Amino acid sequence: MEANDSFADLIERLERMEQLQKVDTSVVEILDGLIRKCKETERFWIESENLPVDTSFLLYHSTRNSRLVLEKMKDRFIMAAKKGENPHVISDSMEVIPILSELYEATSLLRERPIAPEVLSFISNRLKTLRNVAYKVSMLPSPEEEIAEVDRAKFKKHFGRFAETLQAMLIEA
Amino acid sequence: MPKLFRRCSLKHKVLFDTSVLIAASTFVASKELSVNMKHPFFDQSMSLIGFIKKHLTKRIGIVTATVEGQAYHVLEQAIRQELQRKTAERAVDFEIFSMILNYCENRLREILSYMLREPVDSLEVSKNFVRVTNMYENLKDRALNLPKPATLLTEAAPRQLKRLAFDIYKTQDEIVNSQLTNLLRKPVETTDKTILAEAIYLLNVYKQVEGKNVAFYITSTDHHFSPVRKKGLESRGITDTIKELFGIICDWPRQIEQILKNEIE
Repeated sequence: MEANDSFADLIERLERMEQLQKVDTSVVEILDGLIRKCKETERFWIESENLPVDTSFLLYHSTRNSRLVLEKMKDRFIMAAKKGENPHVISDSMEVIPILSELYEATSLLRERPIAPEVLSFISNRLKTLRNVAYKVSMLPSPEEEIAEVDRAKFKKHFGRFAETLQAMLIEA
Repeated sequence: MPKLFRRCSLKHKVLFDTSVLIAASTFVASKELSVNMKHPFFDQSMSLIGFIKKHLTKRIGIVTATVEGQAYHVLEQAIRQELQRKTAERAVDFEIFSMILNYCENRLREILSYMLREPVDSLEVSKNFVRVTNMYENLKDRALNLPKPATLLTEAAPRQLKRLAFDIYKTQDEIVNSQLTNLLRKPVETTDKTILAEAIYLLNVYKQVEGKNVAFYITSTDHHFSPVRKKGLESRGITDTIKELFGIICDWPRQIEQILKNEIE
């Protein structure tokens, strides 16, 4: 199934769940499919060495964040079904899916098209919106969850480089 | 007027510059990873933000859309620079920098939630921008024509100590003038000028609403605003001019927090 169809299917099922006020775990399969596609796309941007590195990174970063939201959504659906809780996850998902779908489509289209600067700016802004909305409806992993699996030494080294660059950018000697 | 009453009636507003927001956002702490890393100015920036949070109802901390947008932009720009400088293993570099960007943006979002985002009238800000540009141009001229008193002062020193005295006076000159001479080395960014122009506009708005009892500050680690302090000496040519022309006090987070503590607590 194409990702666009998956998003349409997801919205349809969420609307049904909202009407019935009951969690349907069949969405987990759709979410798994979308997560897989995101991972493929992430890999594609990592390997796109013909593009400027900051362009590839923005598109990777955007796809990775979409995946993080989808993974959190999947976890919450599984948890809601297990605990039989008040299904907030349905309305919360409805809040983020339209932005996710739009961002996913914009990013995916760039795999086969020339990349204009204004499209990158659009993606960057949409990504901020996605993260803000996802944060409000608890659809983002916590910072601790996000860095839990990372190689500690490499993380420290990269963070050190980043902090030094920031300092050089903002502070005069 | 009794001192206590005078203190209570004075309203304090602190406009946060991008540099302080960035310093406070650049922090990672994880027990699992045994990671605890931070920006060199994190502590003093966070301490001021903690104070603002403690006195949230007083609405002391303010930002503008320019500052907010610039803060996010700087984080992205730093990642971009890092990637352009060196990418050994793209898969690893991309993943870790994506995590770092998310981590710092989360912190920035939280910090901004303690601030009041003030709207500004862009036409009025543009008028102020011209005044700000003129100020920095005049300061650059001043920097080019600074007196060099080291030679004069050295004349009074005993002959055998002249060389040493000259070196000491020269270093003192360099430090005391460094805020102005920095302008020649590193010109002021347009966004910095815009931030000052917005601050002037906001101070005028507050004066109209609150009367004259408003103390307005910009907190920044940027020497285009805040004084340079080194070896017990202070360079504040720009800072004093901003205060004199526009009535705005610029300083580092530590000093602003101290002022606020003395005034409020």
